Amino acid sequence: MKIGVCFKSVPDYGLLGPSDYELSKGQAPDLEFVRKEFNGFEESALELALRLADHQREQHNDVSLTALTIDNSKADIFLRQLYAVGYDQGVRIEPDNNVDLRFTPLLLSSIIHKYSTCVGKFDALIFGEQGGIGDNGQTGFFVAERLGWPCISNVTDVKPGPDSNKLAIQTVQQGRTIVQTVALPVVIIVSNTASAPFLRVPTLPQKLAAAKKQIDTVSMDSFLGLDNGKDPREKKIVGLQRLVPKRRCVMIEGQTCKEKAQFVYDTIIKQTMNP
Amino acid sequence: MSLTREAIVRDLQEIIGADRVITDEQVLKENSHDRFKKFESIFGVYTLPIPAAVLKPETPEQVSKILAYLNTNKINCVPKTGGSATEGGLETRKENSVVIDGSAMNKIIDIDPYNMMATAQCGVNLEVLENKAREQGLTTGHSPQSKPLAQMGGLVATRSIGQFSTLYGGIEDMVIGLEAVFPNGEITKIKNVPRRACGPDIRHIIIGNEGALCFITEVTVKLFKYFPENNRFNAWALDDMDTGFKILRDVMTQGYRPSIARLYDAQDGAQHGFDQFAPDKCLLLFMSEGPKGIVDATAQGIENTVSQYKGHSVVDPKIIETWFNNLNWGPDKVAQEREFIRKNLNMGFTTEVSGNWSCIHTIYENAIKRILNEYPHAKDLTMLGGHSSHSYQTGTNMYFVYDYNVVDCKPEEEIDKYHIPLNAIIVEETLKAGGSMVHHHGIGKYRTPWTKQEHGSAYYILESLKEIYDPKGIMNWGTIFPTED
Repeated sequence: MKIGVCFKSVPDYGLLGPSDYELSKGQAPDLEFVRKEFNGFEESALELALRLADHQREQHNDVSLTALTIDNSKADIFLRQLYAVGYDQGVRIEPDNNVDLRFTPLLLSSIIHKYSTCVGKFDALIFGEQGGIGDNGQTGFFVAERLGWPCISNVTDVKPGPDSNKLAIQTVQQGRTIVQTVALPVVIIVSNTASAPFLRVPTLPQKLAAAKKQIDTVSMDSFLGLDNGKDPREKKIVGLQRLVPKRRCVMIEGQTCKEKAQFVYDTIIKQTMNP
Repeated sequence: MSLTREAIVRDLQEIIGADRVITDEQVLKENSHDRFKKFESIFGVYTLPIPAAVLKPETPEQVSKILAYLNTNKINCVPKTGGSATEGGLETRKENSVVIDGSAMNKIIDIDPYNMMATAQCGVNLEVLENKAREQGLTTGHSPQSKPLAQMGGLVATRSIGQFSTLYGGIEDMVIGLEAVFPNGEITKIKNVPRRACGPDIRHIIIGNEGALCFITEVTVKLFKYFPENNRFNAWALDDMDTGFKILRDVMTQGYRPSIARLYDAQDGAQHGFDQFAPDKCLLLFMSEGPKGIVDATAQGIENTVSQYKGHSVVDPKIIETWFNNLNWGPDKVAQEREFIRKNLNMGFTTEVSGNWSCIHTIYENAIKRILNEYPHAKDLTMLGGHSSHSYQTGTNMYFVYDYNVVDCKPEEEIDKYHIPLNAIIVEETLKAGGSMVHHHGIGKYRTPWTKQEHGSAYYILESLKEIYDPKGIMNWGTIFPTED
């Protein structure tokens, strides 16, 4: 079974201060000084794929894992980490210089579709629910549409199915857990729930071994030309607004804990119990 | 005959009132340990004796009555203010211990901008005090990573140090006066004067006592003028740690006093994302602080010093400034860390030591080498490295950082399989090279096997303090001073 997992490394927006939210070069705040991290939505997808591969190997099924990203060479550090935790192949599709890939699910899905069809030959493609803050969560669906594969979203777990060409896919919908047996090929979109796993941490020997591995780099041009949608460079951001969380603090007065608890019950809990 | 648990609780309720004596089981469990045994606690395992009660006194007089009672009845107590300790100092090792939590003594007594000092009760949170000082354009100059959590009494009790120590010093350089209560109930107050030559400096009996001699109830610290608008960062990528230590030494011995002077090895730097900007390099960084003229001269002097060395490249100061502004640990980061550990069974610990310039690189190299060669579970390590973050005229510290996957052991076995032996190697290599086994976390309860070796012939002085002030051994048993069991 050939599994491809698509991911992005994204700036850690939590590090930014208010003054950092200024437009530079007309398109976005300057994020060159901010370290990147695995997009949280996709970190869970990457780990679920590893767990699926572990299960497959326990059952003596052939499985290979490919991590795929569309990014510049700064993403190599993340691909190396994925090699270290057990990915068999790291692929980076190098975009044109300065191309802005935000808000371009049609373009991204076209590239991933073509890579999967021409090179990857995947049996399953796994995505995170959303690329990052502000993204629209459409790329995975578009890829499924282009490939003509079934697409399962809100996924919380994936395990081997009853035979080698099927998967048991767990989803959560409206609070209910559903496990579906799905024949390959399939596109899986992993949900970002409270129980979503973190990516495992590689050991020192695994990191050393990964440092020597080759990252496959291909030009984005190679995978354009199908249905690219609009040129992403036509976008223009006219302004940015930082959302400031508005919180209110109420000091609870009372002589005893019981009095204070009663206040919390009357003013907050009771209202939520009687909508 | 020792008192029963019930009798202890009943007596203490009479002494300070029932509402100040907590016996809720979960609260007691959480007060049986500190962050040393965080792995166990994340999985709800509590292997230490559960204290009989947690006490929340409001006045030094109440502390005095509590201690006098405990002393008379030979009941062990663990003083606690803040609870961000990492070395087991807050563990209740004895059955029916009592935790004295000073967090209810949380009033800022005075901020005196003319004499440049602030007086606070032991339970005042450092961040609260710092913010109050900043409203007047002042700063305490003390900024440990635990600033959002730590309280003044605990900071002084553990000889804490902050991230701006190269300029402002450790807490021992900041404390002017103190109030503390001794086991016999004696309330003592050391007055606030700029300096005196009236016998030995008795503040240092209290600073760093880790609750093993007395309970700190009030602290007076220095204040400094605050010029954040002038802060200036400098950073360079280097090929090796040895060069970094040499540059640090040059900067310090030439008399420059940046508030931050740090040197990260490539492994530790990667934990902070520095590898994204300077792959496989060590990182040397500084922050200059104060009036503009001093800042400019300090930054220029540092740049001149670094320029005399080969093999360095400048790192964008904005990277360092952004990283540094997010370095502190509040409750949110603690909660995130616990969630990560619970899900991934990946733990991280540190051991901080110090050494003179002539031996610090030897300590760094030998400890790392020995861990990789001798530690039987080295294959489970996911990170091993460190940084220097506090420099002095005569030397610097080394903050070893190590993470590991917890493999094939129960939660209660983790500490013995991983942290304790790793910590032991670092301590042994440090003492062998002539350094100090603890730089700023305190000895706690797990580095006591080396307390005598650390102090050598001077252990006589340390031991005598315990005999004089806590002859019945009721103060935080097993902390600082080695015990046979």
